[in-house]
Amino acid sequence: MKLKELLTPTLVYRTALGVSFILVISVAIVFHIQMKSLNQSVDLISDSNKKQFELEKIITEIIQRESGIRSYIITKDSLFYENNLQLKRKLFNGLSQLKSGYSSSEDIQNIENLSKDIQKRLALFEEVLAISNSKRTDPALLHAKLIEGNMQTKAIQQKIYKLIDKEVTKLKLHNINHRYDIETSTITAFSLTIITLVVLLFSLNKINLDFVKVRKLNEELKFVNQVSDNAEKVAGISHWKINIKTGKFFYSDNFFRILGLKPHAFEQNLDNFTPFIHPDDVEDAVRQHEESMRNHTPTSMIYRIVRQDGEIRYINSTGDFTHNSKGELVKIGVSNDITEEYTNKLALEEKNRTLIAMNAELESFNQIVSHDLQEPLRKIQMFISRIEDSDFETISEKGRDYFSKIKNAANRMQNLMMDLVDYSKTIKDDKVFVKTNLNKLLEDVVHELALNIEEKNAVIEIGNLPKLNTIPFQIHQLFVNLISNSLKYSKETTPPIIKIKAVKIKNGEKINDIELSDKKYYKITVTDNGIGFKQEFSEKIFMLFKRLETDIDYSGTGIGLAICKKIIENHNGFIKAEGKPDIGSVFILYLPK
Amino acid sequence: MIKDKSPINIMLADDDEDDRNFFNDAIKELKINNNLTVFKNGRELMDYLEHPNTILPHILFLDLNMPSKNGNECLKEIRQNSKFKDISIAIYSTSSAEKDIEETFVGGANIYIKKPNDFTNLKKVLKEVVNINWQFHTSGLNKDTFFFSI
Repeated sequence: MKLKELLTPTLVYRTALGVSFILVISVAIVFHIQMKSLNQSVDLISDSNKKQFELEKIITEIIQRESGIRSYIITKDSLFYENNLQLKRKLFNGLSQLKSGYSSSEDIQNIENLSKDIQKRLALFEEVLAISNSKRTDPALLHAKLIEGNMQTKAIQQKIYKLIDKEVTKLKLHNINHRYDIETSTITAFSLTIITLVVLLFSLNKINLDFVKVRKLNEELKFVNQVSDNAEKVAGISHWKINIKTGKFFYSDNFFRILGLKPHAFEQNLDNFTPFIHPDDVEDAVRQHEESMRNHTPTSMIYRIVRQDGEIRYINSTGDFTHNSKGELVKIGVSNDITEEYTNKLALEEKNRTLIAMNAELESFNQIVSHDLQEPLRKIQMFISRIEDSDFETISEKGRDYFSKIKNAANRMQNLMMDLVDYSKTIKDDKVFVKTNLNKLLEDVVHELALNIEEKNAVIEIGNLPKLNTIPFQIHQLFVNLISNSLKYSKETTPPIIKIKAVKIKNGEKINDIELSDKKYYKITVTDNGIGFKQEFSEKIFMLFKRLETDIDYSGTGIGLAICKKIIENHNGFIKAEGKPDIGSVFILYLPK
Repeated sequence: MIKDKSPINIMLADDDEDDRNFFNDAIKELKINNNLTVFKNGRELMDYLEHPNTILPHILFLDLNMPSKNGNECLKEIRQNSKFKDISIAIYSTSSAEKDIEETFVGGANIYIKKPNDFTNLKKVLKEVVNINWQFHTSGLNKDTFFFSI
């Protein structure tokens, strides 16, 4: 983590730059020190050489003097005898120069000692010269003095050599040290340079990598922008920004396309845009926008725009305030072309209104059937019963036959109307589902049909039935209709046996290609031993007003089973029938759990 | 109670002339000691009831669908007036719509009769209703006992 932080681009560059700077300065300092020490060495060498030269000069002068004097003693030729004073000056001049060249007290002492020795030697020269120039030369003394002089010269020579040696040793030592220093500093400078190069190369590499990355990101960004532009194009949406601080507007490319223009067809600002807003909407839209800009509140509006070719589009525009990366307040928003949705919505609303009106009509039709139509019918029936009660005997036989036909027709019409009311009730949308105990519900059904059951001598067997979510009055109606149906279509000779039970769903059982399973559905069967029907009619019997040819002897309205189908559909279930003529029929219900 | 010498006072408000005749015939054939007063609409009924000299009925048969003041409005006015608190009200209508039954039950009617299709049935119904012990019936009144069935 720490390393990563250090490796963030700006820090890397700064660190690399700093390190390189320090390294370059170090290299410069190292070179400076090296040059300085080189200078010192040169000084030292020349100084030492000068000293050596002086010393050698001194000893050479002395030896020359000595041999000159000897030659003079032998030859008496003054050619070998030079000015004594000049020599002396030369020697002491050299000595004083040597003395000023040294700094340590030991060396100065040495030079002073040497100077004394030389003075002594010079004095001896004078003495020898004096002896040799005297009238009577004592050869023994001369010889002794010469020997002594020679000894002294050798001693001086020794001393001078010693001094020279010392200089040489000093130089040698200095040379060794100096070489070592040079080597070390060269290595240091070299390594520093290498390090600098490495650091610079590293950071250069890093910069290069970052540059590649930035370029890649840039390309990706371009791609994303393209994708989003395409997405906006496809979805009919656009976006815009208004910088509150700078007052700058931005409209996305598709904003222009929605207006029916090419991207950036006009300079982006409000004044250029508002002329596109529908004249009836512009005032309200601009007012809302300005209010929002004042109070920094979000906006949401639908307005129309008019394209240059006169086409009107519906725009849903929502905007809100936020801060951009610079911390400036920005209003951003989305403007969507909702023309299709909006017109669809309007059409749907219109359809809905028609539907509601139709429903109301259906309701009033219901009212007509259940009340207004029944009233005259009831009166017909009432008059029929009045005639039956009082005047039946006086009517002719043919008349009585017609009369009973009138009565049957009136009864049938009443049944039809009641069934129609029941059917229309199943269409209405007030569907309230309640957890219902089917066994309890069937008790009520059987109770309701008790008279009919008794009349037919029927046996109703009810198994263990589940509790499930139903619209109770509809399921009640369903079982009333199914049991009534079985009772109605029973064989005259055999008392009906009607069995109602819950059954396990077999594997792979299907209806309308929908796989059924015990997990999702209850299966309930209503089985009778009535007249049955041909299997080919198994679909037909659920259709409204459809009656089978076998029905001729039976009074039915053709609505009862259609009601059953409707009710089962209201419960998202399925119903089917299986029949065998003269054996019976089975009605199978699938009700969702 | 009905066997007492004093006649039972019955009123009927129904706009349908045939229905009024059926009702009248049925009551006559029942041979009950009664005074039947018949009205053609709600307004007539209410005007009569509110007259100070009127002898109030024991049972009022009230059709729902009537011109100038319908059955529901009459029911409301009667039940708001404490003077009429002892009148038993039997709704007498062709409709068996859930909405009508619910409304009149809440409105304070005592029983709901769907007009029968058969004269014999009509007689049966009227006989039963006239002989109801109203005190007993009202104390155990609920939506199931409210809708009359033979």
